Amino acid sequence: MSSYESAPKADTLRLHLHAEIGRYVSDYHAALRLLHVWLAHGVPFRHNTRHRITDLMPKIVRVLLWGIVSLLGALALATIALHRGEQINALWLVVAAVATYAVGYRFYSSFVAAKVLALDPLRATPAERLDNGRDFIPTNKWVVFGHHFAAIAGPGPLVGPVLAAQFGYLPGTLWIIAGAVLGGCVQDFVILLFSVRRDGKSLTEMAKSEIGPLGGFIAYVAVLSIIIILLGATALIVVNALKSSPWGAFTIAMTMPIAVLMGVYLRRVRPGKVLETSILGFILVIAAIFGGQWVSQSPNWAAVFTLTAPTLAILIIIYGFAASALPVWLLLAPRDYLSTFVKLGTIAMLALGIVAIHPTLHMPPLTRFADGSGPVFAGKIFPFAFITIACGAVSGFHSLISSGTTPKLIRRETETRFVGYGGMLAESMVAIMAMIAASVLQPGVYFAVNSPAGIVGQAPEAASAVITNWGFPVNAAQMASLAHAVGEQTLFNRTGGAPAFAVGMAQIFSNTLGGQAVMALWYHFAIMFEALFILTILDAGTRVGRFMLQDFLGHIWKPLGRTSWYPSILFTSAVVVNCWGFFLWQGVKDPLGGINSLWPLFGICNQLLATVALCVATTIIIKMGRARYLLVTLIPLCWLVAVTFTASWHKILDPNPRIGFLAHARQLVAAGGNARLIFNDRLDAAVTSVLVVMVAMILIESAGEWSRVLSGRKIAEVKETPFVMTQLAIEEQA
Amino acid sequence: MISARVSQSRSQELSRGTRGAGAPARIIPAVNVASSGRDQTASQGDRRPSPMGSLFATIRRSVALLRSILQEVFDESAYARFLERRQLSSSRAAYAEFCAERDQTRARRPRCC
Repeated sequence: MSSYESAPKADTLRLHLHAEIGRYVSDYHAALRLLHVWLAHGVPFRHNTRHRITDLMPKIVRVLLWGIVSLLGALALATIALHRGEQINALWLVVAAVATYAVGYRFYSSFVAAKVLALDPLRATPAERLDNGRDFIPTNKWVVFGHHFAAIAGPGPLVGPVLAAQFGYLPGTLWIIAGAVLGGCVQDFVILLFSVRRDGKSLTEMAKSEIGPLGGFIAYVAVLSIIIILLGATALIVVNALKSSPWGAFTIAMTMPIAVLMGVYLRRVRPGKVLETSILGFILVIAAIFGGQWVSQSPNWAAVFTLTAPTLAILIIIYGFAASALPVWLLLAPRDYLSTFVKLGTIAMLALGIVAIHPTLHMPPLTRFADGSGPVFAGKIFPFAFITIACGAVSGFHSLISSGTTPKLIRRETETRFVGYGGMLAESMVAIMAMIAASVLQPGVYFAVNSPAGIVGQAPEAASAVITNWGFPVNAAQMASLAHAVGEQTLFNRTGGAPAFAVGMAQIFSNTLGGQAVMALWYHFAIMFEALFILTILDAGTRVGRFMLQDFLGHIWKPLGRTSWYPSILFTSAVVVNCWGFFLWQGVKDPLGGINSLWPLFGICNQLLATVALCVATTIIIKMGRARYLLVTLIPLCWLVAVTFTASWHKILDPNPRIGFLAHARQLVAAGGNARLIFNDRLDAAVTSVLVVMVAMILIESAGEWSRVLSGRKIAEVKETPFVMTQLAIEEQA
Repeated sequence: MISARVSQSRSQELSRGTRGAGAPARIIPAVNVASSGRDQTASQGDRRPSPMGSLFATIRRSVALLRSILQEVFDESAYARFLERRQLSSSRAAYAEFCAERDQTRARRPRCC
């Protein structure tokens, strides 16, 4: 008796079939293929039903369950939005986020999967068809999820929300939640799926084949720009966190010999035992944090490791060049592992700490700086909150990961929803935790840490007076006591977001484990954690930028494209390091702290890349014959265009010198200011203009393509790999 | 049966990696542990698995899954696949060769913001 003969009765069979098809496919042909396989292989209805507890519940219970989740989310959102004049608990933010993410994942991502993308469980993925055990490997979805999350989680979702907290916790929180569910997750999901259907092609390749050569070129320039500006901005965060901090500088310096030691252990003593080596490295780093405390208290050693911002900037630039141009894998690869280990562990610890302590938020929901006069960065909530928080809500950079390693690991098309949409939800949760870490600080402390000397002054008393006058009481003694508690000489003017995040995290952690006595250790642990993976981004980013430049220059003169030719390596490494080093140096010398200029520029770049990704996605959706669902990507695209254009306009032409680059340059000219600063402002304005022109060009190019396809002037030709029936599904069924 | 599955040697587990055919071997076994448990109890009459037994099985599955994720993130699975592909056993030379191959792809992989 075949399995099919032993199948359930006809009506049960029809119901199961309906449910299965409804879950995965709205495509008629895909449904027929699914039916065909079930009939042929006689294993009709075991697929993927094992773990779905909700499937076993009566419908009324499911409706009630999701109704409760939705109501809980609505209640939490209403609480954080409508409470005024009272402090609220951080758990309201967590509940609002988790409930909205759950509803978004269950309903919206299902809708996108079934109606818009028509995920086909029977289509073999490139991981299955091209399985070579190296790049293409069919991998369990949870493992891909972990891998994808580790790749997309960087400093962005930690720093952006901390900076945007100057508006209060409300605007940033709402943007993180709504932006992720409706924009960022959709972008990551659709790009991942489209890359899977194109043998794991990159975003640049997809832009070229689906929009045209101009689209491909703009995507290439956007990727290179974002890498350079990202490196400049993140390097500045490290400089601001480590300047005049012997403890922090010593700890980070120690990660280098520790990494080399790890490398030797990994290659000589226990080949391939990376996890074991990372745990040993982690223990050594903790020892280095304790050592840093001793160094900071020793007058001689403290003097050695007390570095100014320019010195740190030069050291970081040299490091970036060496990491790109020299064969220092013994240092880089183990440190990369160590950084990932610390990152994943710290994020998990922070989540547990917030849930266990559920601290009260001291930051008001909205501050007076909603009017655009904020000290952290100038500009109104729209568009600057949406530029400042990119990672955590919508991040173009994720589309590089979604069209990079991840699509080559996906085992089944249906798993792209969990990995792409779900991975971004997890990243968004990290951003919510960062917002909580910033908002648990007293607002006066938050502004004292994050305000540049150019705005509040350098003297503690003067700075405290200015901040208190804003309505956020703080005094020099309170700040000195806090600085002493965290083992720093001062916490004033530590712009960049990392120190404020570290203080917030230290407060949460010290309430969980060890009490106030170990607050300094937690603070330096947080600083080490951020600096470590920012330095990893710096060396990886410089190398990627160097390879991209070599690929491009190879078209002009072939030897420059040879990645093993040393003169080319040195030349291209120097170009890339000079580019981001320029922005870093500009930030270090900026009396307004640098972040005021650099972070919005980075946000614009990131959203530009998201615009490119959403243009590609919309084009493919139209070509797939799903134009009636194009709003799924078109709405986030329109939003990002509005944000990018408005922010660019303000950054270039706003008459307020704290916002507009050109107005600032004019102010400096009038005051007979430094020629270098004037040049920097004009260059920033030019870079922003180029970026916004590129957004306009890719939009026009894409809109032309949409119009041609929709009006029937061009035959819609989707550049997907032809359908091949999966064998994995059949094996699993059997 | 459960213990036999769980006590697979680490090298065997690694050599399966997370590949398609291997993935079910590594992740689904955890699921099979539960299902085989059910089969056993069914054949022994009305005895049901105890709540503690189910809890331990769930914990064991979760730990196995977490370990698989970490092994993939930290390239241990990639090394196991490399050894399998090249028909090598783990050694300093093999790991050096793996690192050289891995670094080529790693160098072109951007790190997200």
